[in-house]
Amino acid sequence: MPVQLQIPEWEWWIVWYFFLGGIAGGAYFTSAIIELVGGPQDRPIARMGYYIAFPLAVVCGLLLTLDLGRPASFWHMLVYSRTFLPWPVWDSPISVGAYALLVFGLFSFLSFVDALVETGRLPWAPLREKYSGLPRKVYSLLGALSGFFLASYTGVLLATTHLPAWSTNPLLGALFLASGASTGMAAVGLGLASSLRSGQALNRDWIGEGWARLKQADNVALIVEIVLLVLFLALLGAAAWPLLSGVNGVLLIGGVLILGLAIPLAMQLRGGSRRIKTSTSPTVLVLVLILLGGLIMRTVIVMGGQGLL
Amino acid sequence: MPKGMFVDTSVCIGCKACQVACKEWNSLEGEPDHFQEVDGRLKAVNFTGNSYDNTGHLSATNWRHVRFIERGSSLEGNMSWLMMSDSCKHCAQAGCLEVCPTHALMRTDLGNVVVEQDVCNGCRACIAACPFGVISYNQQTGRVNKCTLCDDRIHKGLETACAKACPTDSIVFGEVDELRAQARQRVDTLKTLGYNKAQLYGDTDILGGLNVFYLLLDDPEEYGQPRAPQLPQKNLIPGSLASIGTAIVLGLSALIAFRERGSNGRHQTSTREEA
Repeated sequence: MPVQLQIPEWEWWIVWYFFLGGIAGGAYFTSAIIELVGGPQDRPIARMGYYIAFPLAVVCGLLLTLDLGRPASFWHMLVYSRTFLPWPVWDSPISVGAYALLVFGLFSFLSFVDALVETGRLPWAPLREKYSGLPRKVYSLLGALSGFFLASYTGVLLATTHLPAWSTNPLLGALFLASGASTGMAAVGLGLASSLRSGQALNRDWIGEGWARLKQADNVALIVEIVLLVLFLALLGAAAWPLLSGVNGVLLIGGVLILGLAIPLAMQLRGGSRRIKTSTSPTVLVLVLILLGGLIMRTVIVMGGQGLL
Repeated sequence: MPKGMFVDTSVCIGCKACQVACKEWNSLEGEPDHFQEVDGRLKAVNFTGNSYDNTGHLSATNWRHVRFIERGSSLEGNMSWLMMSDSCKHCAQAGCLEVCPTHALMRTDLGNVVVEQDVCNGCRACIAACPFGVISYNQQTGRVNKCTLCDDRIHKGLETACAKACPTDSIVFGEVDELRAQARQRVDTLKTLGYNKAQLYGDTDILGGLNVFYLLLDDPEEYGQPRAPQLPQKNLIPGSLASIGTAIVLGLSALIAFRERGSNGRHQTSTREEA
């Protein structure tokens, strides 16, 4: 007689939260790295990541709240209702994740405003003076760390349950992190493509060259993600059945592994190093495929793992 | 001293008095899935078709569930039942309690684990963290429910409603240490009577000990129980380390991609400034 495990019924709010949280973390991380070691000509790329990260962090908070059975009691995640003081539960990924989202929201907000001030979209002089005094690199680094946490803790959260498709091996956190990096970079790329098309970008050559560098990092993320996905499924053994049978299998192998990872990687590698100096615009189709792959992966793992798909 | 229950399945007769007592004492409604209003009257639907079990599973309105496991065949004359009155085990190391982000799940001074309804916000992390499938989401309240070990009764010196109602003393309430000693003696007795597979399920070997533990006549799997459940946190450190390792690889790849670019860019910029 099989064990009658119950499922938490985490559905679309959570799928989108995991997906968008990954993008937010990945995009911010990309920008922070550029902030730390890139040149001044890379600032437009860094700003694009900041423009993406903060709004998505806000959306993530909303999604997380909407998924609760009692959305009005969301604050219980952050403040213990008996003492009205913060009381994180270190063994609980949901608890630590809620605080991480808050911290990430703070740093991504600072960077978001910084980007708006820098480009003159927030032309308030006192703000401009204040911002020049803030240690941009320091909070970028802290934001990147919390962004990385945001992208990966969702996988660790699933792995610390008793549902076999999630917890038979501990690789989901790493897999979601790699996916967050690849989808985050893809989102930055799409933003750059959009700004190039609309003529807002200041220097097409610099952005093209910067994107080519970013693509190198993105390729590594895609390779790591493919390896982790295959390893994750292989180590699941029989527990992989809910994820690989029927439509789920078609979506995971066809939609994620082939369309969302292998084909974009092959297309980006084919463009290769020759395009570093001459590239002008990211290939939109590749980026859309990477993003779709990330969404399908979260959908199949979250919903399929519970037998809801 | 922690209080708990010893459930001796060898004397369970499947009468479900425990289920009824639980429902009555805790004012639990009928299972919503099993009732449908037809012409202004409630009609029972969704029969499981499984032996004498129409409860099916633990839920937000069924905090106790008598399992009926049919074995053999009446045609061959070797038909037999295993029965087990299942509920929350009030584990000494409770996964649900450890993952709850709001501290809504708490252990009382008598060792039972309860859900503080006014604190729970319905995140449902505890549901996935329970290896026994005990905690259930209540669609009507947006919170989770489970057996409380009759928290109100036991703090007034009474026994649990299910133990009180059990006609065969298959469910016995008391101090866990005393119950364990009693249970070990019972296992020895059954073994001498030829029940070779008789065993305790939930002694200190499982999750630090289950405060509600069982005497089974066969392997735990036969009763739909996991043989060696672990805390869900077993994956916390390996999962975190794997994530950190991946973060280092991805971070380094991005650093390498942009490092040269940064120095070139600064060089280009300074050259322009000099010009």
